[in-house]
Amino acid sequence: MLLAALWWALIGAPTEATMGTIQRIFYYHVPAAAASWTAFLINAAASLAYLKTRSLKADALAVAGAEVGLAFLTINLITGPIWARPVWGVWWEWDPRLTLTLAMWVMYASYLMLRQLTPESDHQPRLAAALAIFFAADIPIDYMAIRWWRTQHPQPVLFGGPDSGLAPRMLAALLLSMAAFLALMGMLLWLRYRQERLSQRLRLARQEQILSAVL
Amino acid sequence: MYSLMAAYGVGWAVIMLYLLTLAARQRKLSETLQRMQLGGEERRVQ
Repeated sequence: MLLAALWWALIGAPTEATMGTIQRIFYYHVPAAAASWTAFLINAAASLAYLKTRSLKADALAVAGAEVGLAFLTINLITGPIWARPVWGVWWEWDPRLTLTLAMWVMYASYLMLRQLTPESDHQPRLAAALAIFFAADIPIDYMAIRWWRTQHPQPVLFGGPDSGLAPRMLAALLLSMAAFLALMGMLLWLRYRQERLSQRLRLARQEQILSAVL
Repeated sequence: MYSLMAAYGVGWAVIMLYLLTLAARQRKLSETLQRMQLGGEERRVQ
């Protein structure tokens, strides 16, 4: 699926008239954003579930969502400036969409650092879950930023009103790339979730060993 | 053209790097699990 998406992005889709070949970054940049937002939404939903049920499975899913989402957001933040430099003449512009996306990267990086650096306790996942729900507020604002404000970032091509839209072959390339990126995100999420569950089990077993040694 | 190649190359590099990180973490967890299982068996024998 990824190979088919790559073929469509680089060869199958027609070359855009104004920007030329560089516009093909679009088929990588946009699906990476969609995959990261989906992973962060999973993180928020799992955090909410953890606060309600205190389920370790929900906590593991929250960690996986944040980490995988951050990887895809990194791709989005790297490919964006590579596209911007030849088109805008600058690598970066502090417009609402770009600033909110960078803020999102910093938020989820700090979420993961908090989980790594604070000592293991009952409070840590609770604090992380509360933070994750708070951070998730950035997702709809970031999504709507190019609709609410005039930005240097291009206007939406999907669900952007009567003036938006794509040529059929461009749309096919974008949708296939989206599907491929979402499938890859799902696979990475599953791998990371299983790892976190194993790590939780090891932590519990270690605690039991320490307790049995003391008693 | 070079920008396009750079963008796709860096994108794939991030995914590959993440996969390598996952593999390294998995190896570490498996080693810890094995050590704990061996430790448990030793205690049972004693």
